[in-house]
Amino acid sequence: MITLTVNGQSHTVDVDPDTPLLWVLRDTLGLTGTKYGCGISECGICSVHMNGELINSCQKSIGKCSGADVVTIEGLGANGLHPIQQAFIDENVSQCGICIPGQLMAAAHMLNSNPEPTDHEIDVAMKNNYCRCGAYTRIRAAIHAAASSA
Amino acid sequence: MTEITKITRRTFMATSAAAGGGIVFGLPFPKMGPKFAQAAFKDLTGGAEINAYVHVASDNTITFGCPATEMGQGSGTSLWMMFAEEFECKWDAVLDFPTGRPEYVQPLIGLQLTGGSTATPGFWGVLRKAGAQARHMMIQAAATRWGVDASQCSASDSMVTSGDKKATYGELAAAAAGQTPPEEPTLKTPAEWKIIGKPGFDRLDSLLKVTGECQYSSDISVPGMVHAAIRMVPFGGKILSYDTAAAKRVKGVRDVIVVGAEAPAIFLDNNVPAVIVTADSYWQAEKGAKAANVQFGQPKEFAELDSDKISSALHAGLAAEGSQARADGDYPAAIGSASDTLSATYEVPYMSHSPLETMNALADFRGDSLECWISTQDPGAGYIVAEMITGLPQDQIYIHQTYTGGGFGRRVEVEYLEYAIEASMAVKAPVKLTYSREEDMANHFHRPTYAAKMTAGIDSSGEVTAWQHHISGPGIWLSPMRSSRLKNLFAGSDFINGQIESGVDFHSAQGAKDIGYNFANIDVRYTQVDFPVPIVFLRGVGNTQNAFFIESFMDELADHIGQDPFELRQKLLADEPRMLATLELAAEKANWGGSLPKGHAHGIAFHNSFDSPWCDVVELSVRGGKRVNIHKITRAVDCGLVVNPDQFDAQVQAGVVWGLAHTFLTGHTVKAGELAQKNFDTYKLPRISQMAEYEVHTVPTKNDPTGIGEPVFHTMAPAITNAIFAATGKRIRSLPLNRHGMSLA
Repeated sequence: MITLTVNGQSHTVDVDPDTPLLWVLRDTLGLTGTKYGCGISECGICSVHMNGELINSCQKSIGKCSGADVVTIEGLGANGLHPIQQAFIDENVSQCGICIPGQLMAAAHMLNSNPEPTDHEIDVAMKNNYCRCGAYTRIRAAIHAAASSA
Repeated sequence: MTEITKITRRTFMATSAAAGGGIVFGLPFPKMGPKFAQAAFKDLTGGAEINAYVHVASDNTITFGCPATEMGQGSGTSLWMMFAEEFECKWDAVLDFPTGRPEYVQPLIGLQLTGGSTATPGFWGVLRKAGAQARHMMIQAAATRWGVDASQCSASDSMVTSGDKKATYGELAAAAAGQTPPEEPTLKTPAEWKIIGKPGFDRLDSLLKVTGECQYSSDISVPGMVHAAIRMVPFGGKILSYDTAAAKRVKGVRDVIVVGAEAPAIFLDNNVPAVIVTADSYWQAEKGAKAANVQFGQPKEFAELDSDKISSALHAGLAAEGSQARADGDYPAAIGSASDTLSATYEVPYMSHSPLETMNALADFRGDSLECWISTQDPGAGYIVAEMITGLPQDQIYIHQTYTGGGFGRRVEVEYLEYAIEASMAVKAPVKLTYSREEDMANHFHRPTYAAKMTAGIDSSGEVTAWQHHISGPGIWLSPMRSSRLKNLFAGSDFINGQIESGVDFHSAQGAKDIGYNFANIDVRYTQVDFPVPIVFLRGVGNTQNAFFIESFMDELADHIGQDPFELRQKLLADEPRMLATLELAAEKANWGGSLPKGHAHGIAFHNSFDSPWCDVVELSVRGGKRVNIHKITRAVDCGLVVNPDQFDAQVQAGVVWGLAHTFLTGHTVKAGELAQKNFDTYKLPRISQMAEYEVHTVPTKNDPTGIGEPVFHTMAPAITNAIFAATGKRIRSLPLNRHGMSLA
């Protein structure tokens, strides 16, 4: 039994300790906004925040999450939309949308510590997030827009 | 262990050879529409369905039954713009993707299938008319209620008014549903449009997609569902052994079953054999599949297949005579009398679409009915295979088409649905099958690999008088090995028969036959060389290889005869006004021929596909002969009327990324009978830091919309490699550039 906090709620889960956090979120807790893409930390679509850090949830065993404080896309805009979510809407960033939760978690994490990133800083912070549809120009524009609206 | 399913597959037979269809991929297909009408808007209660495309709730909420898949290309929003323009409603609508009714059959294909850049052109007339009919029904309902003539009523903003009387669409919906619409309502003129072609209409699905609420089939759960992982045999192989007991020792594992064809399956519609492990969670299913330690065997010739052998076979194909795809003038005479000739050989690799949502399906077989959820481009084929596997009549089947996490042509195939249905039948529970990335990539249906030999003859005055394009490679339509199921669905049609008779696979030669360049003597030929690597359509399809072959060679030709690459194309397109205008627009906007910063060079490439001429001019520099820095991409297209300017730009943006991927990164190699790259650690995609700056220009036109999703990227590779030549003098004749030691800066 492992107890952790997800989006402000405490959950106790009875799963094999080697289960990646990703699959606990999706299959056990029903939080399907966090996506599976590669399982090897290359695509970033499983990105969540854990204890304030940006992590790939496919790489974090639930056995190492005891007491952890996790925020997923479902909890990012707990009090209405986060500015980065609004910016993604305003810039019509989404295409297929499957990478968007991961993009938002990465962008929000960067904005927490760097409210006015340069293009280069965006490139570095978002380097682990693939968008196969190819919305990179708009992702960058939306991050700048969110930065200036904050 | 659950009894192994023994489902003998039947080859699809053509149900009709009657030509109906239309022009997808350029030629008519027989109609393959559903045999029954499903209830649309199944999950909605209250209000009324006005027609197959729109449901209006009593609270005025509108649900748009979009007949096309929403896989990112924006059809959900763009198609709604067409309908809403005539319906005179509030803009906001809920998107739904109902299936199984004749109204959702793509008129240009004959199936409910989204591909071939048909969504906008195919439904352009259909949805405006249906929107106008729905408006008339609302007005008639109001006129009847008020006892006035319909001509005294008008509609706007989801409201019908007549004098001081007002009623919302929600109030009128139930009565409107019973009205008979006019057969041919008068449609608005372009001058009257308030939505079509106008900016500022945001995507309808953005909120869902930024909150994580958007549901793809991989996100759906139903009561009693088990999760499933799969191990599919490599090319042409069979299952030798697997350890059920070991799999079942993994906590949560329930069943280990074999699905797919019983025999080694490389032919026709047979899915390859596979082992499926079901469990309480996906992770347990994957662990179980690992523990099962499935061993495969391949015939020797497949087990030893590698990229070198494939390349050798392609080049041997170029030495053969091939089948003639186009013959203009007298090529043999012209090349024989040419005072100078130029020849070059090019090659492109297998390429996977790799949408970020891996293939998956949820199937719930209940003995006398079947309900499925799939991220797919092809619910039409889904119904057909579901009927084939279960033996159920189609009216006992419903396929929920969910939002789709990328398609790009891969999801025209529905083999993942077949596996899920078989598994659900075997374990007697709803089964959600999810491919791991490794399974998805290793068993991907790829853009085929091709080689081409290009030859030109030049006369004594420096005119190019002879043009030959010889393509060698697998035939998506003609291969006897594992390739698109559509070849079986459309068996017996003129389209298929014509390819069999000519020996020219349509997509292998796509974009090679119908070049706009006005050479006096043209010879295009194709040699079919098949391999057991699964193949299917990839965005742009045959143009993805042929644009690279043609436009690379045009650049070599221009250099060889000492002409400017733009001016040579300009001269050869003089009789093609739309193509010429597109070429000239890109050159003008890029300031072709103007001065560039030191070390920078321009490259140009033009191609006409899906009735949308496209030209890219790329400005780049190369550091140390290896690091390519793209400074600017200037794009021009004539895709007819742009219905949705915002999503047009989104597709153009996507095309840049796809072009960078195709040019620099995404090529598969084959090693010992398997794909060598099975995940993104070795099959890399462009990242945000590699995004290039672009601008796009459209040729002014009043023509109806033509394709935009398909033609977006295939001009990028030759524009880039031509610019690399201009910058460095180095010719690139095969893709991707990472195999030449070159990378994006």
